[in-house]
Amino acid sequence: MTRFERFAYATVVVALLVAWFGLARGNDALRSRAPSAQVAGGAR
Amino acid sequence: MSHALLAGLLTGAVFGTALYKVTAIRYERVVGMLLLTDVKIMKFAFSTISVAAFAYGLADIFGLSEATGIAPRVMAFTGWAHVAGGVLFGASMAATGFCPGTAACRAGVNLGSTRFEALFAVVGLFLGVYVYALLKLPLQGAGVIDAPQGLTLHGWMGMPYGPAAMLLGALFLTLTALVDRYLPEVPSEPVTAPRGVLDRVRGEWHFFPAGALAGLTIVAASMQDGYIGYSGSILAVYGWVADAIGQTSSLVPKVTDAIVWRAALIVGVVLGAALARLWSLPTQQEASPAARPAAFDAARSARVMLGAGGLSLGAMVGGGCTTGAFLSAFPTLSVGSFAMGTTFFASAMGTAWLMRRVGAVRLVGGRVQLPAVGRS
Repeated sequence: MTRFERFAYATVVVALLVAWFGLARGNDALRSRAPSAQVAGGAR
Repeated sequence: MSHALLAGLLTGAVFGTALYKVTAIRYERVVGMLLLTDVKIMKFAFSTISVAAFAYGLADIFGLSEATGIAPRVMAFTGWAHVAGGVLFGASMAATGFCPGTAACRAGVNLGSTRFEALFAVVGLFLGVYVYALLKLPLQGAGVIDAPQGLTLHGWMGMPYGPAAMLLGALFLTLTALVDRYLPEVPSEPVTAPRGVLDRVRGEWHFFPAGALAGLTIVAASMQDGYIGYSGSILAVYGWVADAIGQTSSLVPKVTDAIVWRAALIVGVVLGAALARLWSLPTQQEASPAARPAAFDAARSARVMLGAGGLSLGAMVGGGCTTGAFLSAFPTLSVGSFAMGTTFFASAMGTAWLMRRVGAVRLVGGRVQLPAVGRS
């Protein structure tokens, strides 16, 4: 396993734990946020 | 307005530096990615998406989105427009080896040289916007471009955004690691072997630091209430110029600070790439005589301009380019970006495969050789 792979998989494990924490916490600040107006009607 | 101009220039310059340092401007890298013979740019793109998704996800989960402005702006879903625009954009990308951002980046790198393809590509990008201005209403009337809807994957799944963004980031980082293990990357070719940290910074960058810088720049753009997408930047420049000469375009009815920021973004890419070239060690490709052609190739320049026109028109119809509809948009879990991104990559990979079959692209030792257009 390369150094990058070790870094990547360790980061993925931490990210999954944070996602689980976020789900358990139930914070949903952005879910109801309307898409902002974009330049000339589209993000592009 | 001057603040928006400076902020856009700086943001674009940092992003342009990342594109140049990871060699995303090289035709061989782009077509190599599409043929899966040199996947460095794919790993760069996946790293960018994962870093941006993690930043957005962490900000949401820890309740920092509103305070910091680290909140996603969602690319709209516009129905079949993503398919129509994506097919044209992907075919044009494979044929030219450009996307709007890398065309601007390469134009910056080639400033002061005798290579003009990228300059013609930028002209072609503006022509594409002009054609789009003519076609937009008929396409809307024909039902190709639907009214924009802010559809997101997490909204459809009924999930909160933060955890969904973390899962997407984890998915793309895992993909990066798997691609790194199982698919080839053509190694960089410095003129002299790097010695020490400074030479490594001045040489070609590993995909992850470049991807992390690009991802953080996307997040920094959100903090400025902006959005990094270069077809939108071309549109903003087009609208600003049209307004300045008294021919205000219906595509950009008013020149606001947001339009100025977006216009400055692509100028910043040109400047950032030009500066990065100055402080970087040259690659063998840049140092070779082919980088300084003695004759102007009008036919190739015309083909590049036509291809760039297709890129721009495709991006306008489909809602975004490689940056705006992929790198910046995937972390926001926009359904429109998934439709556009998967369509244009499928189209680009199919076109590249066809080009290889008919001999327009040759591989020697796993390396893409002798492109018909867009060589730099």
